[in-house]
Amino acid sequence: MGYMDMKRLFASCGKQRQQLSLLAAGVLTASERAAAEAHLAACSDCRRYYHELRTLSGALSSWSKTTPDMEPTAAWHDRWTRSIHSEKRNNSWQPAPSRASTSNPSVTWWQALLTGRRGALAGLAGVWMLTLFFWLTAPEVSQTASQGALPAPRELLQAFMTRERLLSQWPAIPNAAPENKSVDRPPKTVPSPRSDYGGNSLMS
Amino acid sequence: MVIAEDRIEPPNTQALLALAQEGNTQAFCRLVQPLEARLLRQAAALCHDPSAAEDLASETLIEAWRSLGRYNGTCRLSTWLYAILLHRCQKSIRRARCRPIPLAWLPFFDAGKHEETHNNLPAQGPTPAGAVEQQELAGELRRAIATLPPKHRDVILLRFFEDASLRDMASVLGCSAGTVKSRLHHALGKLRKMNLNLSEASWDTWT
Repeated sequence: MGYMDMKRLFASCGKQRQQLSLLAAGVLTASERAAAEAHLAACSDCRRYYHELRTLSGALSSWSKTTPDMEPTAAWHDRWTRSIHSEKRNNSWQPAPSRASTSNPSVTWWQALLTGRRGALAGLAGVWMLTLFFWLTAPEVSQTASQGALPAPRELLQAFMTRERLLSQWPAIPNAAPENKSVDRPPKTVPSPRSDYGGNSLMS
Repeated sequence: MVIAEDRIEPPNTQALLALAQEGNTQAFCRLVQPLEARLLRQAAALCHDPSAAEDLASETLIEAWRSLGRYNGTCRLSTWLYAILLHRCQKSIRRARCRPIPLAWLPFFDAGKHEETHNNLPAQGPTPAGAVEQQELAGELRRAIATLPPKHRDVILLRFFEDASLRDMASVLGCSAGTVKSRLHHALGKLRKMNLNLSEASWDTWT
């Protein structure tokens, strides 16, 4: 089996695994079920996987079915009905909006924007607080650093112009710089390899 | 043993619902009366303590009464109630973490499991040994589910305890059907990796 065949096989199984989970949970439509079962017939690994899931989902279903019944007692029923009656009497309960008005016009656009986005907004607030914290705790360091590192734009421009002028004069002073450099540099003290290997003895 | 029933809703559900949404408490009581036993059983499965289960179920019904206006009929009423029950249960777990209360009150906690098993042995059905085995397996499943993240636990419980469809789950969880599929897949995958001791024979005998 070639590399591409293997790749296709595993890709196909990977895609089918979710369908097999849903098959075991019993939520697939008839056509999806047929496709999943066709794959199961062809793939032994997936059959083993499905078997494990089927055992699990069977146990879960049976657990729910064998949980003993709890008949509601009259005392319990009275207790919770009394609670809702008292809420009604105390006017803490507001009439529910009708089903037609579920898209409530009294909800403003910003309320609708906030609804269901608490996590994202909390994250944004956190990032903002962190930024503010770092900005407040290290303002002087950053200022001095920036002052030392970056000269004023005018100075920058002057430096640039000077550099340009020097560069334009460069061919006019040939070999000046290399000679100076060679003078500054310490003399090389690399021993000749021949002397290390006893070249003199060979010569003699 | 339990009934695959409770799709039962009163014949005039729509009228009762409309009345209840206008604030009629009697209508609300009649509306949820056929679902009370089911709700108590679902609460008992989560709590494993009858008094805690009763508290959880009554809190659920009171919460449902307060927020009945938000029920828009896109899913079954029983599924909507079960979603509230799961939410209340999650809240009580969070509260219990911050407050010292008897451990037996905690949902998912199996204190006194064996004692209760012996007290509640069914008169007919599995043998006493079988009943104990059932309880142990149920405890193992309960503990495994308790370790799942809430979003995964909710889809598992909605699917297997409420027999909710994909559309109903998506409606009560406020997400798309694709998200529900993905969560269900990952939740089952995580439970599978826990290597629970579930032989087919053990759950076949339950049914």
